[in-house]
Amino acid sequence: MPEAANETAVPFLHRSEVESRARDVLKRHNLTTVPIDPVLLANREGIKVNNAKFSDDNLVGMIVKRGDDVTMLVNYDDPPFRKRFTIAHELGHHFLHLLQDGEYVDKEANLFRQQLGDEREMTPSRRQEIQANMFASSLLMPEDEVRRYWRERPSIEELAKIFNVSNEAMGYRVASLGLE
Amino acid sequence: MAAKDQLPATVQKVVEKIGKPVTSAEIDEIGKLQDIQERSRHHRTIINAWKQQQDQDRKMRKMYATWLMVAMSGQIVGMNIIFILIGCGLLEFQQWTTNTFVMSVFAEVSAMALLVVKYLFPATSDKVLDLIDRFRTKDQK
Repeated sequence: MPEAANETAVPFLHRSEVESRARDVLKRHNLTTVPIDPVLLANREGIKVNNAKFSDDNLVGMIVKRGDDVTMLVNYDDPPFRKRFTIAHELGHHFLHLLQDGEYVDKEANLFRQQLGDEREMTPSRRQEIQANMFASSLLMPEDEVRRYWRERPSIEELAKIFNVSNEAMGYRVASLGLE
Repeated sequence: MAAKDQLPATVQKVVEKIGKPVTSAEIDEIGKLQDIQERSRHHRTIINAWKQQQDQDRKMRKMYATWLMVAMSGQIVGMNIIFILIGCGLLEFQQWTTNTFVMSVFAEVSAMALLVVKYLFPATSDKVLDLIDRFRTKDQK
């Protein structure tokens, strides 16, 4: 399975750096209100996002870049929350890793399984997936907004509705920001 | 590059079919939920209105039916009293008057029974279900 076009030279990115990049992308596209629409963002970046049927049921999405032509495919059978996160994850690859032609094919485990440990000690491809996940979280649940809403109503369910993400995703986000 | 044959060979292997573009509405789970809640509220309003209407209708029918039963019973009791009085010789009428009286009371009671059965208990209607079905079809369009 081709996972990364360029697995060498994957720089270590601190969480705050990924947050900052996601914030810059949102600011550049003037996406200041939640819920964030990742399809709109992808389309504004000139990325075509299509549903697709994959031969392997574990595949959730992929992004392919050839010159200026960037295509994103997401698993047709996935529920909306998962598609949103997959698109945001692929956007993470787009903004963080796809600096030249290449492709990322993502399995369910890449996106929806938390891997603990030091990012510095991980394989390059795993490091890229973690960075893409961090980017996806930061994109769909911007830190400032999460903190602001959490102060008003500290409920994961309520926030998940506001940000249009699953309770699990919001739970991770709230925990990673040290709010709970 | 949305056609399968335009994808790199390594990726083509895992893509069986490329479908429609993903839309913002398609991934808006909360929006869909709100839509469903809105439709559900709509249906609930119709059903509640229908229920209220049915309750009022039932009360009115019950009242009419009660009064008609009282009237019918009165007619029958009255006719029986007159019949007994005639039998005892306390009242005297011509034969044809008595016959006409009995026949007319019988006709009146039959007419009232017909009225109760035909107009107070009509065939059950599925109008509200038809209405919900119409809304559902409209929503799907």
